[in-house]
Amino acid sequence: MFKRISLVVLVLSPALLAQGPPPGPPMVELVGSWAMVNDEERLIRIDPGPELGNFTGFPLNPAGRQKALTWNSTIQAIPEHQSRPHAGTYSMRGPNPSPHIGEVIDPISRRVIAYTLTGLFENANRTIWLDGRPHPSDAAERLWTGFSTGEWENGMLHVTTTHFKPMFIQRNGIPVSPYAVMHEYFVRHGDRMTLITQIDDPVYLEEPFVRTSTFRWNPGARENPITEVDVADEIPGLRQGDVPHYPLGATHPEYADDNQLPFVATLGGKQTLYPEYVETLRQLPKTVALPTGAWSAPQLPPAPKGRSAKDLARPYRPTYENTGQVEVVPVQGTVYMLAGAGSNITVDVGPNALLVVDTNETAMSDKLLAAIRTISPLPIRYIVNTSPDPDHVGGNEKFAKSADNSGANAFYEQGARVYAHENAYARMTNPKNGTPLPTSLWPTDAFAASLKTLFVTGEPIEIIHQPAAHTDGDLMVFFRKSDVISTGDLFSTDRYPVIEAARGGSLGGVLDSLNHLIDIAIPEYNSMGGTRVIPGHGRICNEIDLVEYRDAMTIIADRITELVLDGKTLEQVKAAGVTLDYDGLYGATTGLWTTDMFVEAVYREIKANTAPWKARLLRNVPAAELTSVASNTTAAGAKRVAAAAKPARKPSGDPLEGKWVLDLFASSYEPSSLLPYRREMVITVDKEETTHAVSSWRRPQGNGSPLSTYNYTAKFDGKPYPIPNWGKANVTLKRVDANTIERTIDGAEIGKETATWTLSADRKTLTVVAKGTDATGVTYASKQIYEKR
Amino acid sequence: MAPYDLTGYWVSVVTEDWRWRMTTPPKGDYISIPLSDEGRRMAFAWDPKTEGSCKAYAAAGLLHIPTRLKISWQGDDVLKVESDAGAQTRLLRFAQTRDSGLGTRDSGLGSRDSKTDSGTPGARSLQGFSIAEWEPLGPAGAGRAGGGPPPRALKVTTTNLSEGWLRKNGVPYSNQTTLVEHWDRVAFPNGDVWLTVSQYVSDPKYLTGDYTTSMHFKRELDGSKFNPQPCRDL
Repeated sequence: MFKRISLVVLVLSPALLAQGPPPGPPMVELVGSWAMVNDEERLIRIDPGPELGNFTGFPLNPAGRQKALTWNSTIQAIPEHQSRPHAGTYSMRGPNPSPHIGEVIDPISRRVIAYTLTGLFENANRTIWLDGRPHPSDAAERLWTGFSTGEWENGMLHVTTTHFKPMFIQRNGIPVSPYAVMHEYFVRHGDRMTLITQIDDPVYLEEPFVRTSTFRWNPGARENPITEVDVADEIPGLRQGDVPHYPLGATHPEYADDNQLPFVATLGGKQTLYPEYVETLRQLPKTVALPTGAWSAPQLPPAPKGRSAKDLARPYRPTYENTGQVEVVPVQGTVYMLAGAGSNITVDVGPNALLVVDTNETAMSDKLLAAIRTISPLPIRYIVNTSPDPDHVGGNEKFAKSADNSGANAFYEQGARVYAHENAYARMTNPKNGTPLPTSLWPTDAFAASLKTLFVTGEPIEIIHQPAAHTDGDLMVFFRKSDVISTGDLFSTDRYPVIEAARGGSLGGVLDSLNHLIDIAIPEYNSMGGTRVIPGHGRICNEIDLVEYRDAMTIIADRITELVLDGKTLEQVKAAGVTLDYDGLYGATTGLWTTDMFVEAVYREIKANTAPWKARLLRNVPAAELTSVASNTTAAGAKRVAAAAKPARKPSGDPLEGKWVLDLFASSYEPSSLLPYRREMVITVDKEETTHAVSSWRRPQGNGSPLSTYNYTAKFDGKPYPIPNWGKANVTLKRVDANTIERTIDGAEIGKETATWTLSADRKTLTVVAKGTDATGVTYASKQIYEKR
Repeated sequence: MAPYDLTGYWVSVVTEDWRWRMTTPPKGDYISIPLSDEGRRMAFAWDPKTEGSCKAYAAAGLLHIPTRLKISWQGDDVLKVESDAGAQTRLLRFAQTRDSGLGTRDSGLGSRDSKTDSGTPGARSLQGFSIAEWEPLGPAGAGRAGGGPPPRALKVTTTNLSEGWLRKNGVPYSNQTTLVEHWDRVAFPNGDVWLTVSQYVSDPKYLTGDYTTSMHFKRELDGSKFNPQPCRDL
């Protein structure tokens, strides 16, 4: 060590030391604290947040629009969706980011090798590498923050980010895929900084999405403390595997209605962003109808050869096919993944031996074994086959005989032990159809139990049988100390589940296995890291990726279930686009397992036994959204359908009658916190009696559900009438004249309020002046201006 | 020598404040704008019959409106910005002699360092009087790491404005307004070239603080879609 230090001193002459670091490209100082300026889209970026159905300003393609329209914000309340930070595609844009830009300095050269961006929502803090390092491989885990590299261009910092987790660009369900590429330019002008962002994601966008944000220099600001969001039970009665969503065909016209916009204009799309659309808007009808068409997922280009930011400037979809090149990826603890050969291989390194999960194809054995030797010279003594598929068991013989196990004990002289479930063993050795595999590939140890445990690599290992999923003999392997799960083909990130019904497979079993995996996997705080998951095919994951996949398959199953219940044929189901919003991630039109084959397998499974799928659908989708299903399934649905079938009531002609919508800009509340973000009243008048229904929305993230509703029927006689389910309150109405109503509400749980309703001369505006005292004694007042719709 | 070329045709791509820019918002919808009490009073006094007034196309509101821009040099020292929405013209004058040390006047980009005073303010107008300069990027007064000429960007300061609107629904700014803008140009790896304009509107009369926005424009190959439509001169 001493000699090394002397050598360095000799090499760095005083002349060189005096020069300092060699000049780099032009750069400007960005380090310090910055505060977001919210003078654009304030309502969307902070509270109350974007409304459901407001996709204005986004170049959504049909797949992105379908995903956004079927997103239900209630999903954020299920445990596995709670505590998520905002992805890098949104964290600099969402609620009040106060980023602090710091430097990472190389300890020897003293050069700045990275910037850190901290203070972002729920600690999804970013690192922007400036040292020219390549982006990770396709096998690497994807992160909320993505992976960022930066370079200076004409005084602007250009940042390229890849490797996102699937997330959103705006927190009302507008999606962004894990294959998106984000480019950012940080431009500093004195005490201001402009951030120019381009998100390129052909999976969900018709063209790259560009927006600009402004930050103000904010010296002395302190970052918020790290928030570790606790996961809580927010939905009573929630069951494992419930995935709230809206069905195909959901429209959410409230945003268009409230803002008097043509519905179709609120759905986004490239054409809506350009000046020509101003004139188009004037001519569009106000009807609520979704665009129709036979859409298909865009084809992304193949993967580039390099991994530099320049190579990865445009999105592509990884295929995870056999490239003939094996990549060794450290996962966690003593577990490694071998990628690049098609199906993944898991290697656990113990003190005396290796355990390997799956052995890929026979032809790849030599390369794979060579790769394993770069991890450890220890012998492979244990092999687990997660399924009977040739691309998972083809290397059994060479792997088992790869090490000199002679002398270890009698068993080892035969090679490694090869474990499989007995159903898989039967498929390999004595299939009902086809020919058996060569005996040299057969497992040595088949078992029938649902769980087999080992402790052979210095850690407890659970080998778990998952019945009737991909096949009837699937296994997953859980390394408890390393905290890694190897899933086999129960889970892959690049394809729809391969359901081999002829070999006992089913989507129901796949969903059960995914929910089981989600139960096992525990992320660190804020849905990051924690238990790592090695899929049968694809990249390293954590719980979030499992959840996204489970959600997708559940939603697709629900869509197909609804269509089956509606009597649709297989061809009609395929034409309905039930997988459109996921095809860019998992779909295939060629190969051994196409999207059509997946849809057909699911259709046949659901058609054969509809009842459990129907029950699942009704847990996930609001009954009122399911016209054909709900009508004969739930009381609410039946009531709604019956109401729809009832002949329309003849209007009374009373000027009070109709739908009234609160004008937020003209109304005032004291205290102002009482101002809802939306309020509607529907009034019907039948001679001396009126029915009044009120819906008020105050929920900050706007899921389209009224926070509070009440309705009552009362006469204009000044006598009290009960308001059902509303704080044990009574209402009195008195009609002063044709245009004036006096109303009182009095209830033990809500307090007392008096109000005067006044119709304008043109009877298009209703003004409600109210004042009251709530149940705690606090006074309030309001002047509410309603417009007739 | 100008650091970058802004000449050519550009189109607004409205991905932010869509409802407030693509449509005329309701009277009194001044959300996101830090209006003073006096400003709010004016906003609520707006007469919808005046929709389309040229006041909506004045300097501090013009770039919010979906439009195409044609940018060209007028002489050596004035960058001319024409909008087809409202058929307006802004003149960005490089009014002060600057010795940038960056090279010759004619950079080959069609842009110049200013050498002379390019005009006087004159009467207040919708587009006001704009002074342009190539300002060093970064914190004020700072040098740059590594030596060499500092990277620069276009800063425009506009004064001498008559009253105008920040939105098409008459949200006002007064004739005391100062508009500061940074005009940046970036080229994304997919080949798209963008102009971004960050604006800071200061108005002691109708605003309680700076109104800060940033608009972005995509470069177009030609002017085939540039179609001037006059505003209403009420």
